[in-house]
Amino acid sequence: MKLSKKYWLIVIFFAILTLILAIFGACRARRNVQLMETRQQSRMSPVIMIPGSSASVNRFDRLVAKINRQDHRNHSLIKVKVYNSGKIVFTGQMRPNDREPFIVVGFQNNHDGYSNIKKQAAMFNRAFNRIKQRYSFNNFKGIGHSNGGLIYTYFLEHYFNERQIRLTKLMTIGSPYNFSEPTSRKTQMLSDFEKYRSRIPESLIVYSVAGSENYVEDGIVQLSSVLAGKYIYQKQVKHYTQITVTGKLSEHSDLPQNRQVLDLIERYILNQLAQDDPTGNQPQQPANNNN
Amino acid sequence: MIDSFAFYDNPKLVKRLVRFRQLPFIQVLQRTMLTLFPVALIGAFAWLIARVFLSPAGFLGNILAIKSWFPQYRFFYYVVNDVYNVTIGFIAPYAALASAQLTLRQHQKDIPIAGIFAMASYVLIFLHDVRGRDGIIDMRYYSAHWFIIGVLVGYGIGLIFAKFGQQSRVDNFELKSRDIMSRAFDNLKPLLIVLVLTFLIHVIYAVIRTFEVDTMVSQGLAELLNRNSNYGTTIIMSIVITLSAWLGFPELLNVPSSMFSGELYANLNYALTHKSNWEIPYPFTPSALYNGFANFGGVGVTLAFVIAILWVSRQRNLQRVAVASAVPVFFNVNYPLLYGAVMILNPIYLLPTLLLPVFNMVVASALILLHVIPPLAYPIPVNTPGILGPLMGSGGNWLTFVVSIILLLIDIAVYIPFVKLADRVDQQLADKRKGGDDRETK
Repeated sequence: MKLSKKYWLIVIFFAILTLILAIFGACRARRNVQLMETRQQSRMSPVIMIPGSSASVNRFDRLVAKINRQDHRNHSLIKVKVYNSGKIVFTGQMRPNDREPFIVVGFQNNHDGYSNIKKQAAMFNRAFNRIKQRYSFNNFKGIGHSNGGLIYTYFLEHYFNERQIRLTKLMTIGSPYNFSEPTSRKTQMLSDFEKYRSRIPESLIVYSVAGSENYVEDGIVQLSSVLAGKYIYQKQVKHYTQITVTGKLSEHSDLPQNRQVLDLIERYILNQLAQDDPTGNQPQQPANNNN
Repeated sequence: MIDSFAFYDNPKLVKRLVRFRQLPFIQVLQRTMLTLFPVALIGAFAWLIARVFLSPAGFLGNILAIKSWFPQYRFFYYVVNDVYNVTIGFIAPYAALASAQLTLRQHQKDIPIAGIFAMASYVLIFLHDVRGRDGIIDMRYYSAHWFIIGVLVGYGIGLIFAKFGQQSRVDNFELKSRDIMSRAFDNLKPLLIVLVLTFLIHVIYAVIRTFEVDTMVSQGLAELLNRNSNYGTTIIMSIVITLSAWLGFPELLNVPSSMFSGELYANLNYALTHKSNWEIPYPFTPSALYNGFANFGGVGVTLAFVIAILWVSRQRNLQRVAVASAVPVFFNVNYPLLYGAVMILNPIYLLPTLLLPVFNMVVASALILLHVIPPLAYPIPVNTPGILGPLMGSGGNWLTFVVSIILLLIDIAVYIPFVKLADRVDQQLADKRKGGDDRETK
């Protein structure tokens, strides 16, 4: 009836193992909690942007400069370049206390086509993981120009799965959800997007901006292809709004500099501050807090 | 007081349990489990290496920060995980094979084709291309979650072969190929019966799948589990999960990790914003309470069971099983123990496996209510050793660790008389076998 010596040894071994692991585990748990708390307390809410095909991380320089000139909030601009080898390079300075920096993620492989978009989404995921380690934030906004919007969509459907970090708003500018096909012929990409649309966060607010030089296209992308975004986002996200911009600078590549588009970004994507607060350093109440 | 705990010496009870053990199906089931014990053991270790060590979300991978010093972890994770997939992940067809052969041996027959046929039939029942989802086979029907179904299919097919099949001798390797052929034709009748029956079930299941009844059921369940919980659901859920594991059909084991996730997020959000986990909105949300306190060593508090076996059992084989399964059970993987200690459909262990989780949860929630320990608000890595779960989930509160150790000691004490009872039953069975009038061959 007695526990034999051999079995005592096993029980003692496990008891010691449990203690050691408990000490490690407790330290780890405390550190994790601290990290999560810092993230939760963080007031930073960056705008993470993805340029279209054949564009580099410098694609949005003028857009950010123009916005800074307009709203005097001096947003920082961080550029993240992902190389095919997996190397990720950060450039640019983060201004201390900047709550709303612009982070542009560009890829060495910036080619067009569905297979490249998949690859770029995987690269973006890696970059995103680095960004979230580097800067502590619990929500962010997204802007994708052209194929950048497609990369965002693929990323949301296949990679984005965060417990603590929320994508609040997404604006896609001239994103050809059906490439250059007419609506009657759905591309593989669009049907894939529709297939997995239920994975897109339901709390997201999406704006899809189309440019139009005539009644059909913005010079490169068909209007109908941009409008096809409704098949993905409509009735899946909280709000899906479609906006068409016409007039001066509404050609596909000009859209990020278009005055109307900049206004839309300021009004819908950027956080609204009190008008008389030029520094942007006043404590800002997130809309969903304490009420 | 002592008398009521010494129920394991009650001769009537022992006699009844012995009689239960001698039921034909139970005999086949228990032998199938023992046959598959090594398979489950290999699978459990593969699981440990892959999911606990080689994955950044696993307990050891997380603590040792595997991502930072072993960047190729993903490749090795998949390679090792394959071993799990063909062992525990494919154990139901093996169970069909083993149980068909054991059923035939029970009837003093040996028809090798019956085992193969049972396995093929089991695979056929659940393999459909109708709803061709990109050629992905739904593997869950083949995993240990459907173990008992595999045993039942094998048992049924074994019975059909026992009734209609032709006896062939064990040492028939010397037979000429012509004789093997004629044997095959001798067994044509049971083969056809099995084929027709299997195919019918296959078709019925295909219809069910085409109309996606199975997904509708699981979606409805998921929707139900996304509402708010109350204390009653927590207790019922624990009993249902343990019971399903005891029945050999632990399809519900994965439920607690995903259920009421809304409450989990609300808890985490609150704890992080207020920098305290004492006043979270849903302190008794089922998955935190169940995964934290009711799951030491996997479903049924089997860590306590292992220690109880090592402590008081006098069966050498059972103790060997306990030693071999100790490491997996420590990390909450208890399939080897379920099979090796024949826990499935074993009435001896029904009470402790069912009630100990509930007892642990009630004690823990009382302590939470009295503000002795904080509720578990923080997420924990995959396969955190059950005994460390509360410590990690409370963000490193040592008192919860002490509470879980005390709970474990109580659980061990409860398991001890049941292990003694199992010893008595086993002793009597062995005596009977020596007595000679037993039909059992081995």
